[in-house]
Amino acid sequence: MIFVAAGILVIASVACFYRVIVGPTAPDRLVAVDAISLFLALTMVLLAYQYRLAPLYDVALVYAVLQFADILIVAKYIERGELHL
Amino acid sequence: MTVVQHVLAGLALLGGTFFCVSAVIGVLRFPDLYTRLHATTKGVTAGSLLLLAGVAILEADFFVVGKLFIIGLFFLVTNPIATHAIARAACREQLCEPQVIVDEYQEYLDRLREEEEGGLEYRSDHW
Repeated sequence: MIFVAAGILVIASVACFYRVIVGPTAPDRLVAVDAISLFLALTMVLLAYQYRLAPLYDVALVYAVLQFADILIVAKYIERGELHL
Repeated sequence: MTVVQHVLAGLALLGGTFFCVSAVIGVLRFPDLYTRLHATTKGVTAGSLLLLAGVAILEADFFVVGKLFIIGLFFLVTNPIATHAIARAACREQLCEPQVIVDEYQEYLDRLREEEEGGLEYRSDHW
């Protein structure tokens, strides 16, 4: 059950990578990267349950935080052309 | 107990994967940036919440369920913010112009620019 859901998520990530490659503009690619990173965090949660790895939940949480910061920074870079951090 | 647990978790996992797959189909098939944003945000948010709920049903530990709840709450808060940042960047850079019919944010920006060029008296009249 868990393996089926994780496998479907991995296949969905690979399918989403098509949009990263051929996306016409930069925000299209950013949308696809956002979806892929969320799928990766969800796969981490599923595998943490399957393999009884409790620290992997923390890894998924930190990954979600860093992914959010990443998306915001790249969106700001697209908007202004440079970073004012 | 455990049979009910497994059936509920299976239903939640099934719904979560369904929403994630429909979000990916939307990303691949929709013609426009904003429609893609629409598909991926709602689909991935609902799918991630359902998947986390499924794992939380299977996992009976209190701390792990709390951790999953925090992850779900974080997804629920940050996903619309990231989507809004992407849409704002695309709208400001006019990267997605041809298929947009009504663009009120661009009209607002134009009006703001006119006010800045027009000087102080126009702004005081306007407000």
